[in-house]
Amino acid sequence: MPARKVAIIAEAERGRTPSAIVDLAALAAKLAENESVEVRWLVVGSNAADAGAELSGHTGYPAVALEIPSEVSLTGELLFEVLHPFLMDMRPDVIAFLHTSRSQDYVAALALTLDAACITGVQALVMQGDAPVFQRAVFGGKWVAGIQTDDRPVVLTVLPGYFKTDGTVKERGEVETKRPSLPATRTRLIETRESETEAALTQAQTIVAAGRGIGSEDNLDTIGRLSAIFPNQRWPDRVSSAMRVGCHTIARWGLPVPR
Amino acid sequence: MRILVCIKRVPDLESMTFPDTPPQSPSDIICEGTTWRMNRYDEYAIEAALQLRETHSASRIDALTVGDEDAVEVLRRAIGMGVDHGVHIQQPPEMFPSPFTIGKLIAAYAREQAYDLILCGVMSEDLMQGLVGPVIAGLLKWPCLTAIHTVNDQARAGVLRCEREIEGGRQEVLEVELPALLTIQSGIHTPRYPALSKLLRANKYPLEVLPAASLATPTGRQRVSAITLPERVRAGVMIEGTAESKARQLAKLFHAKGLC
Repeated sequence: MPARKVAIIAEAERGRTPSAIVDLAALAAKLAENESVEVRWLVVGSNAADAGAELSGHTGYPAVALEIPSEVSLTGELLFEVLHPFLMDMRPDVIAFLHTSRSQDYVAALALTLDAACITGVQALVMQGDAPVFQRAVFGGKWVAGIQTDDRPVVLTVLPGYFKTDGTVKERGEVETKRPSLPATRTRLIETRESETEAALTQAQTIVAAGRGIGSEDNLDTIGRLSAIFPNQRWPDRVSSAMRVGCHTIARWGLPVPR
Repeated sequence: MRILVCIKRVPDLESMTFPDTPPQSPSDIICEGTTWRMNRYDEYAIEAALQLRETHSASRIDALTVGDEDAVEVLRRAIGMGVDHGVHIQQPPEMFPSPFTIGKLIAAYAREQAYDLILCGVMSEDLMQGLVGPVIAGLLKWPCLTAIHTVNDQARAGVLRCEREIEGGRQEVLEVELPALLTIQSGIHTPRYPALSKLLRANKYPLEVLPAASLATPTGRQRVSAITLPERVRAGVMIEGTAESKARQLAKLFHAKGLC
């Protein structure tokens, strides 16, 4: 049986990739527990070669670095245009992305191009015989759906934090650098800014969370008073809005805001 | 500007019961007493469309849903909110329809309609995939921006300026040329509540009804093979007693954990 080909996509900005990207290597390692896999990083962005060397050093998997000049803004549309010719050549069985707003812009288009399935928000992998079953939350996380794609290739977006590498140092794989042509696109990144009033959930020392158990929005003030007893208090600006749309809004798109 | 808003009827999660054992089959998920409503993110998408119409009075907004006869109720509500026209693609009920099938149906309809903009909710509250919108965009070969919370058309003609939250608490500002597809996150504008008189008028509005088979053939690509309970990673602590005793226990717990 030929090895299952796995491509892991990493977006690089000035040689840096999100720290959670190595989680995707853990997903590949999990697949490798049951079958032969051939894993390759596809690193796309500015100073992609540096990022590719670092990822390859951490994981031992070879990398293809697709260099995009730093003055060119990365949009989902551009990344689709750059990646899909390479993926058409490679024909991977599994293509893994970190689950981000930007990856959500174009993973479905890639799946359509590659005649692949597409599963978003993957948080676990189990094997059923020889077939991988990718698990994701449904119904607000109350249940987990196992999704199968039979023999079709699959594009995945993987939630950060669910797969963990073992941390062992591997022998660095090869890094091949390519400079793809950049087509004109219809989307343009104007700016990325730190929010004026918002801070990342990951920066909070203590998170006070409330769910349906608090009964009604009127009780949010109580949560605010509770959070006030903690040092470096942070209080979510849009919490009432989040209440209306369900707690997964905060969990998935997180907006804790210092006041 | 012609705008299409894709909407879905979903079970109200607060009305559902989630037993300790997973359902034997997908059809067992919905139990008696479950109420249904319009997906909340789709309400935000409708509101974003209505806000755009306020600056383009000539705009026309269509709402479209795919589903069985019961799905019509969300179209009526959309019309009550101010949407101009409702399109119902009739499809037998299915708990886990493939996003590729639904996307293909909507794209087949939209391709014939010369829309400038398609809006979808960022995801459905039940299946949480966030895929139908991007699939439609992929099939139409339109640019797609997901999880947008603010849209305005003040930059240039034929261009929308969109904002979204991205990872790390940052904001991204993007411009996109029309035609385009956006998926809308809960945002600045709270969806309007339709007046009773408008809802009553909406009940009489003739909807455009199309059988799914007239538009496209199903494209599965993937299937839900099992429903399981999420792994319990930690147990909660229940604090019992009077309000005063519970407050004391809670304070002790905070001190013990070094939280205050």
